[in-house]
Amino acid sequence: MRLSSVVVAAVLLVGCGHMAKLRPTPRRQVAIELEAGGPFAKIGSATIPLPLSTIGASYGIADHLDVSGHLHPTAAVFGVGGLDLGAAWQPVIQNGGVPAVTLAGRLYGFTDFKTGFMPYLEAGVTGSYKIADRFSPYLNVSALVQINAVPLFAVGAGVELELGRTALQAEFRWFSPNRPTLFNVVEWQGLGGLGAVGVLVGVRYTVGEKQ
Amino acid sequence: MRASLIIPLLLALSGCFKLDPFLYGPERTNKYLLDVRGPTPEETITEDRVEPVSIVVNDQVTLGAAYLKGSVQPPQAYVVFFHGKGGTLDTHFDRAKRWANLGYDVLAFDYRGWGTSTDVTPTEEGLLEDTRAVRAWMLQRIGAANENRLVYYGHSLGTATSTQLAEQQAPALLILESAFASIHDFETDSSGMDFPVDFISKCKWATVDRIRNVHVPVLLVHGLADDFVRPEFSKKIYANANDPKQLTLVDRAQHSDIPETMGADHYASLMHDFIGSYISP
Repeated sequence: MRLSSVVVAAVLLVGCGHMAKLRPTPRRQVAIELEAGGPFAKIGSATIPLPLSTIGASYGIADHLDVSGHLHPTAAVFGVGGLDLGAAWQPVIQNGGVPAVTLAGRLYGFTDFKTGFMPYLEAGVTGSYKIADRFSPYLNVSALVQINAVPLFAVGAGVELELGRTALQAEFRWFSPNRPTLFNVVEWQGLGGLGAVGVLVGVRYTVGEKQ
Repeated sequence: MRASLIIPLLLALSGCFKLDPFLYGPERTNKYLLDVRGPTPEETITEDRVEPVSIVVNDQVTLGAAYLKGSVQPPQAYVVFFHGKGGTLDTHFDRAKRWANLGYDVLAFDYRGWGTSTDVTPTEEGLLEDTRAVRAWMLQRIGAANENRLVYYGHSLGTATSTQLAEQQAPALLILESAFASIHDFETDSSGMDFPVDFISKCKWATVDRIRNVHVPVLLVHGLADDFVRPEFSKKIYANANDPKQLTLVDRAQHSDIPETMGADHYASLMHDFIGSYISP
C-alpha cells in the first residue's frame, strides 16, 4: 500500500551522503575515496540502511588543506547527475591530549540534465584522536543548507582504521535529530521519534608514499 | 514489500530509469471475484445488485469495472469510486458495497494496469484518460439528466485521480478520503529536502494545487492516526479548496479504516448529510 518505494528512492539521491572527514589528504598526495550507507528505513518487514554512495578523490594542496570531488552513483542510477566539490582544513593538530579538529565544506550539485539544477551546501566539523598510530575514533556535526527548506543537521560518531595506504572508516550517524519523523511516509528508524539513525562505511586509498 | 526495493535496485543495474512505475505497483488478476459477502452487514450485498462491466477507453485500453445498484432506487446520487494504489477492484469491493448500501449507485473500476484492465504502464496522463472514459460511461448509464447527481469519491491515490478529473470535468460533489497533497509533499515530508521531484518522476499528482480549480462542494475526511498519509495533507488541501468545503478529522482512524473507526452509523450520517446538503432526494 505504501508509496515508500518512491520516497525512499527519492531520498537515496542526496542527503548527507558523506562521512566525516577526519583529516585532509597530505600535501601533494591523492586519495581515492569510496563511501556508502545512509539512514535506516523500514521496507516491509526489513529495516535496512539506504544505499547512498559517493566515489571520488581528494588532493592535498597544502599542509593540512585539501580539495576533493565526488560523483554520486546512486543518483546516477535514477538518471540524475550528482557531483560535489569541497575542501577540508585542519586548524587544530592532535597534540598530547588535544584532539585534531577538521573543518570540511562541500558544494553539491544535482541535475536531471533536462529540467534544472539543485545545489546544496554542507559544512561540518570533526574532532578525532588517533590511538596507537592506527585507530582514530571521532565525533562529527554537520549541516546541509538548502535553498527552499530549512537546514538539515546530523551528528555522527565513528572510527577509522589505518592499514598502510588504505584506511577503513565506519560511522554511526543520527540524521536530522531535531526533526520529528515518527509519522513520515517513510518509516525511518529514529530515536524518540526524531530523525533517522544510520550507518555508513568508507574506504580510502592513498596513492603514493604516505608521509 | 521487499520487492518494492529489490526490484528497483535490480533494474538499476540495467541502466537509468524514472521512479514512476514504482509509484503505482499495480496488481493484476485474471478474473474478479466480486464477492457479495462482506465482513459486516454494511459491506454485504445481494448478487442481483452487482453487474460486472467493461469500459472501453480507446482501441488499446479497456477497464475492468463493476456497477453496484444502491439499496434505494432511484438513488439520490450516483457515485464514481476511485480506489487507492494497493490491490484491485476486488480488494476495494467492500468499500464499494458500503456505498451501495448507503443508498447510492456505485461505479467501481480498475485503472489501466490494475486487475483485469489492459496491462499497460500507468501514467498521470493515462489515468486521466481512464477516468474520463469512466465518467462518460457513467453518464451514458445514468442519463445526462442525472449529471447533477454525480459524486466522485476517492480514497488514497483515488483522491488524486478524482481531483484530477474534477478539475477538468466537474462532478456535483467531490469526496476525498485519506488524501495526499502531492508527490512532492510526500518527498519533502519524509526527507526534509527540497529536492525537485521532477528529477525522478514525471508524475506530480498535485491535488493541493488542482483543488484550486475545482468549484464544487468538497468533503475531506482523514484519520488522525493515519501514519502513512498524514492528516496535515488533507488540511493543506482544505486550505486551498474553494467554498463550500468541509474537513472532518476522525479520532483514532488510520489510513483505510475510517468507516470502521467512525462506526457505520456515523460514517453514513456524515456522507448522507454532506450529499443531502447539495443534492435533493
